[in-house]
Amino acid sequence: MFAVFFISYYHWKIKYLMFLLRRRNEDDEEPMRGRRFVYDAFVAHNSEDIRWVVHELCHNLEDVQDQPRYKLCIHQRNFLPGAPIVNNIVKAIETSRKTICVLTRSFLRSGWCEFELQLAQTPDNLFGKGGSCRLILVFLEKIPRPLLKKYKHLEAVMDRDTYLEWPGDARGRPLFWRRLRAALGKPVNNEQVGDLGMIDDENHELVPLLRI
Amino acid sequence: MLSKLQNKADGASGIDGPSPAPCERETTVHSNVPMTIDTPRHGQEFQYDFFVSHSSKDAGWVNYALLPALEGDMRFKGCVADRDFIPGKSVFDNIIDSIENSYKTLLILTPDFVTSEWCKYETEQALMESLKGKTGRVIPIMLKECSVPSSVRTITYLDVSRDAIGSYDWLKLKKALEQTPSTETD
Repeated sequence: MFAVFFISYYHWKIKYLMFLLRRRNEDDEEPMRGRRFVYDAFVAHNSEDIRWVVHELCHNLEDVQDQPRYKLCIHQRNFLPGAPIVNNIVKAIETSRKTICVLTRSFLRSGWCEFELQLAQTPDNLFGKGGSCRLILVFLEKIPRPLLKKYKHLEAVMDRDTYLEWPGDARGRPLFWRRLRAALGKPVNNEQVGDLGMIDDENHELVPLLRI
Repeated sequence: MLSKLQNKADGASGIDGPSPAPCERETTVHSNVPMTIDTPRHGQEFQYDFFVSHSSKDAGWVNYALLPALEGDMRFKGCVADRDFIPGKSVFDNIIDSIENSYKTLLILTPDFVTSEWCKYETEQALMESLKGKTGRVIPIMLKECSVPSSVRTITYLDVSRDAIGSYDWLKLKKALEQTPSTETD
């Protein structure tokens, strides 16, 4: 009985240690072919999951003291109204170092999300210089196998380092963020510039925290 | 209380019923709407920086929130039916001319907008303009939660339906109004 408690308590700590030991220092890719990156990651998600995106993802990646701050592209915040959605999406993926897909059942049901997922997997968008993968999958919930099977190409992308599961147990979260940050690498721009950020080559400053 | 163009109100209020017959109708103009500024930014080609298509039920928000911000603070020159339609000219002509002469068209999406025949017509005319090769001339703004008309569904809209519109929303709108419409090959 005590043993069970012991194991479950240290379970997360052990996993974390193993991750640290295993982790090789991967050098981050530079922008390929002279392309200039405006964002660290474009976050493809279904609108139903916006709360998680804002309160967890944005909060932990853009806003934490003493940690490198990333610049994320989120359609509610950074897409220019009036522009066709397709154009906004294409530009977002091309000008982001990585694409993070927030996978839930509603994501897989959404036409736009499917489009974003497909687009992120075209050869130009999928691979960075040096062959590293630019697509990061984050599973917010367990997707049943039959549904996943529909997306055979997903399996090819589900490499250990770019496929993450959001832990229900809060103790697993530090490891989750650590792994996500490792997958994201070094931010595009280390200074915090608190301005309007949009899909636009001229000004690509960071936007203050989204209110939801 | 703002009163409206007689014939526009019949259709735009969303009341079911036969649309006004397409014949010449006089338009009346009312002056409870804020005064506009004189020079538009793209005066060469366009008389107005933007045209606002909205249901009469949303006139309050348009006149007391939208126009003061865009015209008062940001000094754009806008066109609204209540103030800028030319008396004696048919409503159809007023709509078409306004849209053709405006750099951008704003669609104020609400459940009333979606059911209004006049708003549908204005939407179509605005999209026709886009067909002339330039995207980005139609800016939908979702004021109240509603289902986006299918013709507009491919355009990114500004969503202000959840909270009170904030300074960041205005900045986004300003940027959208200034953005040069792009041709498809952009």
